[in-house]
Amino acid sequence: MEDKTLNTKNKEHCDDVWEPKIIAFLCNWCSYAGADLAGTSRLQYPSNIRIIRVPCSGRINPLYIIRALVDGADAVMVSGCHPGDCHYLSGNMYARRRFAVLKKLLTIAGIEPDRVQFTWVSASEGSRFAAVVKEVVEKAKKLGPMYADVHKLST
Amino acid sequence: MVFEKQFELLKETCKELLEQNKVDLILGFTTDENSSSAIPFFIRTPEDLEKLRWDDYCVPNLAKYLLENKKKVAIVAKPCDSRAIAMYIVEGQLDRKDVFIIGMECAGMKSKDSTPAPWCLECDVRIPPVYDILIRGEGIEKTPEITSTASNTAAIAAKEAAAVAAATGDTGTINNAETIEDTADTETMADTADTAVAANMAQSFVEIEKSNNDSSNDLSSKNKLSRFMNEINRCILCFSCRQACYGCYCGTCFIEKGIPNWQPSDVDSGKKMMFHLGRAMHLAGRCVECGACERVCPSGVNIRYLIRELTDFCEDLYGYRAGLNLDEEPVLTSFRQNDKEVGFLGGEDDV
Repeated sequence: MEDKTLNTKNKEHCDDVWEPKIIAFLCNWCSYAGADLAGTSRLQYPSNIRIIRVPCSGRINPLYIIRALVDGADAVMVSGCHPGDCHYLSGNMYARRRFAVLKKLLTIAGIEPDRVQFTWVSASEGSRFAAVVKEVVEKAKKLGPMYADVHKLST
Repeated sequence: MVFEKQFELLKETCKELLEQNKVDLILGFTTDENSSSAIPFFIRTPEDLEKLRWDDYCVPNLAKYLLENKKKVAIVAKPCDSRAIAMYIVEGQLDRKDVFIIGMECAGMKSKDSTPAPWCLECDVRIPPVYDILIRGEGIEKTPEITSTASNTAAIAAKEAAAVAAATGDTGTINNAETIEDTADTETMADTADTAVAANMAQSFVEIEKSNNDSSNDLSSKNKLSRFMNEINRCILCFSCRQACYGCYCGTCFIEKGIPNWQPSDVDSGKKMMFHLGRAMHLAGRCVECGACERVCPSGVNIRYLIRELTDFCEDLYGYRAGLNLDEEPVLTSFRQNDKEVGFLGGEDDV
């Protein structure tokens, strides 16, 4: 009984102030360091993102992003080094094509374009990182929960 | 009839290949005894040629059988098969010298119910881009060298045909050249040799184009999602589309892997979404438009529309179309310094 009450209470609470859950894939060399800089510079940004550190934006398997969305992440953000600055020389160049195609695919399948965000953040751009996160979170909040539509449509 | 003429030439070619021991095996089509549909056929002796079949129901893509064979194999290749073979060669799955490609000019195949196959209506490649011997509706053309054409196949094909016509002084071939030049154009398609089929196809083509313009271009995300969910709700996860697809040749498919496990706990819609989106992503820029996925689906799921739009996207953005050129790297394994940043945060271009 107690558990149930707790759950309902939690649920209600969640409904009141729904916050999007956002998965952020950051490359180790630029964006993760950029996020670090944002932190050490005491810049404020929304706490909705869950950061996953990857070696390179080229290391991000598109399936990671699809799986995150399918499992209910409200948005996915991916950030790597600026083109030309890749630690592994060309990882982000491959990623650039891959992401464009992936975003197109998800858009055709009916996932709103704003749920998948790609950008470049370098290690010195702490303030840019904070601004990007703010923008991503704002857009995700406007869209609402990921599965609101999917559950209605699946049998 | 185009197919009968081609069939005779095909038989002759196969006989020659087998008698001269140029190949150990020929992949072709035969008639299934039970369902009378065209099925793949492994030809080993000249006697087998009795059962050979070539008509407008020979839809299956035979290219995938090449991967299982270690012998010298000849294959009866429609443009889509030929493009699939080209992709195998580009992707390092197959050696060009291990396969002898009998290219067949193809005006589009038919579904079981005698209507033009929907994927053939959308296809504008009528001449196989890679072949050793090309059997056209009008005659035979031999190329001892490895052939590959640039991305504008239709124009190149027309040029080739015109060259042949000039060489032989045959007016029939000139007609053919004109028709090929305009295969994408619905009006002139009615002029092809097989008038009835072509007219029928042209009409359906116009209808399809119309419905495309009406509905699928400016759909909101919600409509797009409901279309996608409508399709995958019918999916029973039998993976037939994957088995039939030329491009799905991985030893273990990602959806069946234990580590990492890509199957979401929500088996119903989640796993279907994961499978179809993942497969579409794997085929992005690699699809040769053979329609196998749609043809084999027991519940009539059309997931091809997703991949089809990705194919167009890759062509528009990166100028790449799968299987037309043996020298071109696949779109997602290559890059250019000045690639457009489409769909990026704060970018100018949207997907």
